[in-house]
Amino acid sequence: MQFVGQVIADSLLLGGIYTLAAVGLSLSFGVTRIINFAHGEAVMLGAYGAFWALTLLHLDPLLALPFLMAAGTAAGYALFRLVISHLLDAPQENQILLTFGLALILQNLALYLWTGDQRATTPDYALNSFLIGGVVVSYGQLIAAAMALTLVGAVFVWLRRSELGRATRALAENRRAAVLVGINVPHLYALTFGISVAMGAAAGAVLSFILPITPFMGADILVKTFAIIVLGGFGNVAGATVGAFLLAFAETAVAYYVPEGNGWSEAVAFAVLFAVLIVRPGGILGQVVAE
Amino acid sequence: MRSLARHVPLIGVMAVLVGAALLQDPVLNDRAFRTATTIMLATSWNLMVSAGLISLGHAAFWGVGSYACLLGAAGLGLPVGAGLLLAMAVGAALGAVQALVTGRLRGAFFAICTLAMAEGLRVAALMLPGLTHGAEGLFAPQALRPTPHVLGVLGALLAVASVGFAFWLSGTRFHFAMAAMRSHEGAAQMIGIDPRRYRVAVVAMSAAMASLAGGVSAWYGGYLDPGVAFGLQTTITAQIAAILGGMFSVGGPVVGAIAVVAVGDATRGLLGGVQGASQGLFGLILVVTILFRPRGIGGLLRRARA
Amino acid sequence: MSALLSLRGVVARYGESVAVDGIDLDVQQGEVVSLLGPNGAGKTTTMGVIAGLVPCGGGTICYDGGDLLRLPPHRRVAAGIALCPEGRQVFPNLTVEENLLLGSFHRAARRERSRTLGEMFELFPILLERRRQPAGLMSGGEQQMLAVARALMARPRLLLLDEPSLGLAPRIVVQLFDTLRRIAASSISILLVEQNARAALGVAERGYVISAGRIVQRDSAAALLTSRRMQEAFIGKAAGNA
Repeated sequence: MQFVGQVIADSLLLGGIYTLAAVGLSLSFGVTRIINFAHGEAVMLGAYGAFWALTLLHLDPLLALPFLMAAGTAAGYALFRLVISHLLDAPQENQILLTFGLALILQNLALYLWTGDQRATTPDYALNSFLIGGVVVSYGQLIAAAMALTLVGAVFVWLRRSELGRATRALAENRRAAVLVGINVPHLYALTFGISVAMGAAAGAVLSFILPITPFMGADILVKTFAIIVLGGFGNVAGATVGAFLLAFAETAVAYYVPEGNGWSEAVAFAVLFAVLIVRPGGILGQVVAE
Repeated sequence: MRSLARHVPLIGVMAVLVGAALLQDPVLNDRAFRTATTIMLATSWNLMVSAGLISLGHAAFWGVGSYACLLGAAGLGLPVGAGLLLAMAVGAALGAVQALVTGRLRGAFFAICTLAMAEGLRVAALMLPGLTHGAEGLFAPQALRPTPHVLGVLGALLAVASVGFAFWLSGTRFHFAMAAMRSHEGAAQMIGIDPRRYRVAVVAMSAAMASLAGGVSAWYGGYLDPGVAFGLQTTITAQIAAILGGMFSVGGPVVGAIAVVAVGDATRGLLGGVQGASQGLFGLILVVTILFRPRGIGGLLRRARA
Repeated sequence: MSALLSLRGVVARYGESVAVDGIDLDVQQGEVVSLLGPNGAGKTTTMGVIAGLVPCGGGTICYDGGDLLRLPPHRRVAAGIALCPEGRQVFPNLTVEENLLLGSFHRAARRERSRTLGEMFELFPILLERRRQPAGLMSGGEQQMLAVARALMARPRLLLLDEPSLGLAPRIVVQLFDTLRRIAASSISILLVEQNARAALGVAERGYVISAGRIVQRDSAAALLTSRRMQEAFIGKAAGNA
């Protein structure tokens, strides 16, 4: 009985963080229709950013978060305008390969700068945990999840209520019409991409509490994010959230109930991806475009 | 397109490759062997791309081929020849599975599935040491292992066979089917092509070729672990070689493979100690090529001649 | 008095083919001008060039005394040009109201948003009724009204209308053009592209006829209505519609 409670608690906390990573990618694809295979590296760089902020500046990752997000937005904006904008009308093969190439550059840059040694950010308070209803919850996990869900909520509200948010939704639906109402489309594309990078970086900073940080952590995150999208849906926040929690639950269950589950839990995302696609080739909600 | 005369340079290159492998110089042999397996990898990757399928997990096929050979030798006493046949069979089977599971998926979703398969196999290999010896690694049984020289020649001949196969394929109905599939599977259906069957065939053939390369490479290197077998660097090599040299053609992957091996060696020579230098450089090449020369070096060459 | 909009020798290409081959066109302040012609004559391309959607391959466009070609598309909206495109092009999953709010995206229009919104609901009562519904669920005629209203939300000085009657039932076309007359009565200048020549000439003061990318006729609306060439070429066809 207790065990199940623990699984659920851990899933909820992990799910919150996964949501943040997935929503970023979902937003960027929904608007620009470019699939960014370097999204995992935004997460990775965010994690390293949090680590170095803590190590060099003694800045708590949560305090570093706004700066990391600002840096992510700026970097994403610049990258889009300089490089990625060329992909807007290119065949999908080019998009995949170019962003994959970017991922490669970033991974190896990280490897060169910071070596392959595993890092972790564990501010002191993160190590403490408390007991609630027989379930152990670590402060680190709780804060991470709370932060993640707050950011997702903020983005959701921004999309629904603000001028730019509405413009972003409009751009996602009809590029021509967006131009006609006076939206500066190249700028908004780049801004959206920047925001998605910022969200990835935030996810990374938050993940740094619970995962080891390595230059290659992005690849697994990318696969997880895709698994989430196949589970829940591209281009909408609600779907990404559902998918994220489902994946988190599956991973946690495997980690607890399968012998040596910790090692296998990495493979859960892959298995989920395949399993869903076998059963429902169009993704659970039929949102994956086949032909 | 099919006139042999236009392919004289390609034939020449392959002849040089075999020649280099036949010579007694170990350094040259090594270069020739690595170039040969890269040619096979690139040709194999190119086969899938020609049908519109981007594989980000080509290492999966390479890896199962490697494990098939070494486990077959260690467990069943299979010599090189039989081991390689097994590798091809296993590879083809895995390819067929990948094609069937992904159904009609294209583009990014297909790509991510290939990545998932490769990574999944890597984790499985790691987590099942009873079968694969896990992270500890697996060694090729010395009794069954041929000399590097023999393997070098074998590799070169297999590369010639692979390129020859690709050349033959380019003249068959298959070639047009793939071109049609590349642009639009729906349209392909309209001209009487069953995308499903062609997809299974393409992926299986491509996989078999990559598995063959992985198998002979495992014999050559003599050691295998999940990272070596299923690591991303294999996929990257395959991609860069095909893209740099020019996708969709027969000669392109060959040109690209030679370039990639040369660049890799040069980087190792100049920046040997720098971690991630060659992979990062490959990433840069990939980005720059897609931005400025999506048709690759091969594309350039074709334009110059025409 | 110089024209609000002035095209001279404007050229536009689609790849190899020339869609617009050197046209001259004027719209005076407060005028309603119609651009008529058969399918593929270059009408929509011309609108696209003015709005900034299509690159201009030659010639000049003078707007409000300045060179329009120097402005990127989003600045043209702020300068007072609003295009209501062919095929409506609403934002289907956004509500009617959100569509309208987007129409007044540019700064100057945002300030007057509430007033303009009120005016739109008065002009098109059906939009008020459907304000919280997703735009994609409305009928063709309703979407057309939304598209026109959205363009007007930008408080334009020059309204470009591309084929507003396309795909609409005759009864709706009559309704729509009555509303266009009301809009025209205010000081907005209108350039109206239409295949339905009779309806267009019923609301326009002047007209241009374009064929194969060139202006082949220019005259007052009344003269065009009675012109033999026009009757044969277009009104004969349009008689089937209206």
